Amino acid sequence: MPEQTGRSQLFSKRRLRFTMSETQRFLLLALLIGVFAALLVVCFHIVIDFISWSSLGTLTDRFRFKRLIPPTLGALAALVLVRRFFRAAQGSGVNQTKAALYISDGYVPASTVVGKFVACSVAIGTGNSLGPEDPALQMGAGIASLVGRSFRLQRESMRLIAPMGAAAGIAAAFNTPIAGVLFVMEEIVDAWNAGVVSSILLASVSAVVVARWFLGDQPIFHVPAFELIHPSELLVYAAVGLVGGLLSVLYVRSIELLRERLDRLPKWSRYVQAPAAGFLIGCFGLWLPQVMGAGYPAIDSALHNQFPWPMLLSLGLVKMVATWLCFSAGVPGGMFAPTLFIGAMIGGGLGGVAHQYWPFPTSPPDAYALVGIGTFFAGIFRAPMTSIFMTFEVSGNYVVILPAMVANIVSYFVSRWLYPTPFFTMLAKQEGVDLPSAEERRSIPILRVEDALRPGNSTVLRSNTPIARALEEVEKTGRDHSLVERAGGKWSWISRKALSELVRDSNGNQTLEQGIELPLLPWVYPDLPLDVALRLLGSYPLLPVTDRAHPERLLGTLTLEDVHHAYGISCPPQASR
Amino acid sequence: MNAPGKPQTKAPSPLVVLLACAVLFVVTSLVARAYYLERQKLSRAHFDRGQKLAFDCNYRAAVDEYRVALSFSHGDSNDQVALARALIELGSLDEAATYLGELYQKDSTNGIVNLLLARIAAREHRSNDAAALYYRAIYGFWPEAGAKNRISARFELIDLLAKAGDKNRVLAELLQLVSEAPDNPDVEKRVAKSLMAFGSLNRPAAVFREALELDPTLPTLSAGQRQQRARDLLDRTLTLMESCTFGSGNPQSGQAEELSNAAKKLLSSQHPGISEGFTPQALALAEQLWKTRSAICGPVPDTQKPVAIVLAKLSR
Repeated sequence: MPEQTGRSQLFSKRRLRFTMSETQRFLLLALLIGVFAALLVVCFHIVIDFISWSSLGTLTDRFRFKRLIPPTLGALAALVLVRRFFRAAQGSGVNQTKAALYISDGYVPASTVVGKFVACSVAIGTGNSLGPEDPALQMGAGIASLVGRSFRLQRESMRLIAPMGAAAGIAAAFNTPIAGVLFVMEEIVDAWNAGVVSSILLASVSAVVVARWFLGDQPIFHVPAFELIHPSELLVYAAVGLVGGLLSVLYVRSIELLRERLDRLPKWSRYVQAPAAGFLIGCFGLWLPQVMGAGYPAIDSALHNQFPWPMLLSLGLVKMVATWLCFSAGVPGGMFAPTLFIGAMIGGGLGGVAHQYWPFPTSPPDAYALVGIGTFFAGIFRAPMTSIFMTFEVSGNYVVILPAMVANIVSYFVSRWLYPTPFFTMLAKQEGVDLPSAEERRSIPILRVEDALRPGNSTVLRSNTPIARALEEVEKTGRDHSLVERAGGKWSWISRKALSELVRDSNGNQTLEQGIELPLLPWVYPDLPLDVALRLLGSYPLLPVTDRAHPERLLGTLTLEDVHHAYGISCPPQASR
Repeated sequence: MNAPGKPQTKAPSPLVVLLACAVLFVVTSLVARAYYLERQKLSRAHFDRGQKLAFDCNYRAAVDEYRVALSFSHGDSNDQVALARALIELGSLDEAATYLGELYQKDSTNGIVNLLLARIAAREHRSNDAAALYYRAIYGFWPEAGAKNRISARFELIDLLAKAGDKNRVLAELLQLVSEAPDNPDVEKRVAKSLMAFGSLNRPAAVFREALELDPTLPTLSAGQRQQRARDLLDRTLTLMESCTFGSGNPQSGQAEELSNAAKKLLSSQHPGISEGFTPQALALAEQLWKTRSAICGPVPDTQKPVAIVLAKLSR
């Protein structure tokens, strides 16, 4: 019998050792999700290239008219796939991931992964002007959801697992681990607690490691040396940001309008719109084949001064039109790569103009193309941190940070000022879903304790105050409760009713601490969100507000009534007076 | 948007997920291998096409082919060099410079990269940069045919210096060339051509011949000959110095006197036969004397050009 007890104890110890907490399981799964998502993204990348080589050939192929057919047929095939076979794969990957987070407890159907993979490879591989990153993001979210469900994670973890997969997907697609994490944090999650950040980081890093293992550790672009030649160049970079911001507003608005118009047309017309868009892309491709597909080789060429500035500007504007048509017509694919393309070309074009006409020495256009990469992205997706770090990551040059910050922040503010609705929010609204925008949530002002506190310490009693005098003082204030200051910087409270009963039942000359056991009261600081105080006010009738540097110094008190008043609720359900 | 609904299907077991991940790993490995080979094949095909076109001097088409080759090879340095070379021929110097700049960042001692950058600098009339880059190319790393490429790079440098009218440096480079490639008929032919390029054949040729006879660093010389030439060179430099500083009252003449005394001491201390350390000491002293003399008295008369050429070579 004693032996059996020993064994069972040992067994339970072992179980204890091998049982992982939800957080540990979550972190371990982050690695698995990163690997799994990256494998899929690598295959996706390769399939797109194979389709592109076989359907479009290369830029030096003589028979250029063959560029007309693949995008037309590709757009039609991809549309049929998402409308007939993989309906869940329609729409923006970012919004699908947000929906998984906010609506469906982390559930992303597995068919989305297959649908996105097949439809987007066909659409992008045949030259339609869209990018693979948004589908990669959604595939990552789908994989993460599948893994989370199979490991039976709890609801809160399941909600966060889709963004984790999304970060892995986008990091593998861009080969930029920091930008992947930042984008998900800026656009989707907007929560910076340690658990979320570390799991998203782990997924992102493991995804990039796997992607580099298979595709090589070459950066997405080969960026030449970058230097700031003259301080006045920062003005030119600001102008690049300004133009990027203005164009991004124009772009978002035009997508919104065209989608509205096309949505009003009969449903069958969808099967005409997409191939028509594809055909137009083919037409553009006859003269400017660089605008077909995601366009990364063209960005690389711009970064090597291949194009003169009029050509750069033309490429940027034609790509804008091409992507506008494809995206609005519902051809599946993402917007990330085209925004980088447009930004790089517009930036490079303006840089070329400055290089020729600016009165001070400036860098060649390639430097502006590099900085421009993020400006259009920042203006459209309202993710300035992501765009700055992405520019830094693709260039691997710290000097680029300053111009990138100037250009991206200008673009972000111009775009936000002229058109406050973020791109993904606009898309979600058009699709009939109201998804929260991380940017909008960040701009909501938070009420803090200092906004509600009642200043002064007129109602504070000391613990050595006689009970009868304490009652008199409380009655003078007309409040139901009063703070009691105790030795050692501690606080308590007492009600008027309790004081009256004490005076009635005992000797009124006794001090408060002699007469009654005073309950301890937590205190709050003025910078804390009012929400924190509100939770405490569920258990206590009032709270002392003290100084962080001198906790014994009382700044004021806070009651439920004060909170109601701060929130603008004129008739509180239960008056504390 | 089709917001995903709540799960309708049963979730697969963890084992199935892990198995799927393993299968995907194998599939990805196979696909990635095929992808890599295909890229290599395409890159090679376009590169070869580019080479043929460049050989036929059809640089525009060659550039297009090299660009495609480069897009498949993900920044292969051979493709980049070939593209840059063709771009220089086409006159697209900015673009060529960005590719070469990337390669230069990776390896600043690469001979061909420095040579091409030097050609760009020369085309942009940045003579000093070009000369510095030519030197880097000459003393840089060449994976194959190093000697031939270095000679060729030096001839380009000589052309650059000749265009700038820097006769002394041209002759010094020619001297260096002859000393590096003695008895090379091709080099001799090109040296003669370069001398002719000065307009008058006789005078430069005579100066060059005399400099060749004075140069103590030629690799074909024996140790004794080298010592004798070092002695002669020091002697001639000392004479030039004394004729120039005699009674000049220049503030640097104190230093000149010190150097002259040291030179005299060294010359008088030499014993018959080969004395160890004499040659380098004499050359170093000759060089210092020459520098001081140049600072005080300026250029030498034409009759002393050979000394100037040899010392220019030494000082470099």
